[in-house]
Amino acid sequence: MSPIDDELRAALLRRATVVPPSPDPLAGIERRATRMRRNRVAASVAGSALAVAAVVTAVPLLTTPGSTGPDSARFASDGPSASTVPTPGPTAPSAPPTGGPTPGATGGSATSRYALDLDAPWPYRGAPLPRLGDGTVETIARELGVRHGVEASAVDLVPLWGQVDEPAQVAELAFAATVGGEQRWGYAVSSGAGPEFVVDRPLPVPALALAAALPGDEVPRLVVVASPEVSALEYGPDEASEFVAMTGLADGVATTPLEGDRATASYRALDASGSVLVRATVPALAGASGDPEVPAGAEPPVPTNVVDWPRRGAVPDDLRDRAVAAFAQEAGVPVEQVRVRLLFGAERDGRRFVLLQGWYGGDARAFAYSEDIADGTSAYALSDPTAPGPSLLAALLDDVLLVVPEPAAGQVLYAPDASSEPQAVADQGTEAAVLIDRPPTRTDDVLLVLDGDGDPERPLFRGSVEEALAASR
Amino acid sequence: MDAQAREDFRSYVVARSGPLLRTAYLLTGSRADAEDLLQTALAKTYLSWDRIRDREAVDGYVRRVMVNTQTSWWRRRKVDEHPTDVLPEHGGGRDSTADLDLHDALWSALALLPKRQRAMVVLRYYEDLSEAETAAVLGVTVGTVKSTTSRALAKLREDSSLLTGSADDPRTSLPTGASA
Repeated sequence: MSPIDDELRAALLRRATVVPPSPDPLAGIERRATRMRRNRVAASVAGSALAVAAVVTAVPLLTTPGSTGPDSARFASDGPSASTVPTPGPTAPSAPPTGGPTPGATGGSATSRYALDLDAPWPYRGAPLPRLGDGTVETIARELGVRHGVEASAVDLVPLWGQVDEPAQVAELAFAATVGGEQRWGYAVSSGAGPEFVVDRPLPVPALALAAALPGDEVPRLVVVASPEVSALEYGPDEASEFVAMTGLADGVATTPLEGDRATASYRALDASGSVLVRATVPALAGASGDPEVPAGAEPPVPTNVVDWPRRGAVPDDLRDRAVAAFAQEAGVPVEQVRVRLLFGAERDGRRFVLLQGWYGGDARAFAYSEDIADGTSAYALSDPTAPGPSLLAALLDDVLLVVPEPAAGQVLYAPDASSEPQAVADQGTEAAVLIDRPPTRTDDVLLVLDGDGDPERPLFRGSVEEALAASR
Repeated sequence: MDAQAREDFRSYVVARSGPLLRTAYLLTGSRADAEDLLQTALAKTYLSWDRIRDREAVDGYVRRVMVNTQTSWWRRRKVDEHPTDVLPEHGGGRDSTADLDLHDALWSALALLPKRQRAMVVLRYYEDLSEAETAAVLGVTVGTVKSTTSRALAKLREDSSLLTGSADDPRTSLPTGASA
């Protein structure tokens, strides 16, 4: 125990005791809880009557293989009418999983006509965008940028489907987006505190149908957004049951309540000839990231130790892919389970460098990667989990020290030994993130990172390089 | 939620809202934000009440929701903050004694910490949670709690307002190497 421990306790206790209890602590809690629940399930409330109707009409179909109901999620496009299209049943040989039944993802045949292409995206469907609320789409785009640590200008959001729950005026929006160069899709629900991202995932390739299992008041619901040209969206509650039509919300958009065991439930999209474009298992139930209610199996929330710093420097896609693959290999997990945030990219003396934070369920860890442009040889370093709120991230790759300080940093100074005065590292055009030559023989070199004001009395970091490397872990 | 569960929840709120509000205040530094934060956390708890089997663990659940929500709020509000010429009013008055001056200075320095560091300080030094308990609330490793708390204490020590007192006064020349 030290004096600061005691003083901290005393200071906190003193401050806390001046807070009087609320006169009515229960006031508003149930009301707010009800509003939260509505935020999460707005569409299921609105669609429940339709869903009941769909279930009723689907009942006879359970004994009529190979047909779909007239009230099905069939969409008039350039195909035959719903009542005349032969639809393969679940036991039909023409309905194998195509592209793999990854939960929530989409696989697909070579039917690129139906796949989402962000250069020529599917048209927006649903409620007119102004009805979602003033600035809702812009707010979602901005929050998506904050969520992924990129500037708003680096987010290009494409609305795909939207609706408003009239009684609560809660807006829902399915969207695709390019976020700092990465293609993603998501499902956002408005709330008093801002948009809540119940889905935020990488965009599958090819993206033939985007499916989200969302919480509901009574039962969860499945929402599938696909090309408006698909002819039908159907739901199979388990392996033994036939597929039944989902409730159409718009051309290429459908929903259905999820009841019973969802482990073997699946959905599929059909083209006008009745061929299966995509079939996949129902994704895990979605939830808001950061909320401990997120069930296992959902897209893991972004760990709290991921920094929200902007990316400094450029990271070409091919370099990014190799760095991510190296991180996955080093972490010992499949690359598709890995999520990363790119923080720094640079090229010098024939080598390219990347610093990122990566995670695959737990805390994020810093990962530095470099490769020789001429011969392709690579080097990398994986740190322990990053401490929350770091002042800088540093890594050593052979004889090069990577230093990526927080965005508020100003100048970086370096001394080759403890007895030398630190000298400013030349600006490398990457906003205080720098590469420093550091022969392996050095053991007592010193790093000094000043804040934006350049006040040497209040540096963001001052210590040995070894301490900097330890501090970034 | 059935009538009995609802009554259980109400009893919990009545019994625990006072202490939890104080924790929320230490996390936010503002009475209004604290009330909003606690209400949000309790509303989420209400929605999950039927799934919380261990009633002894409710405080931990609420703390975790508060910390996560507070971090989320910070992320959202960061872009909306507006500088002002007038410092916001603090909850307590300023006393003239050296002890209270130091406490005020600590409180001010605490407000400058990153939210996660502040949360760890509050959980460790106000809630008196162990490192393992703090790690469980925050969903991080014990090592992360140790290193982050150590960094938070280091920042508090470096705060100039804490170093203006007499060097002979052990409280104002805060030591290095304090255990986290």
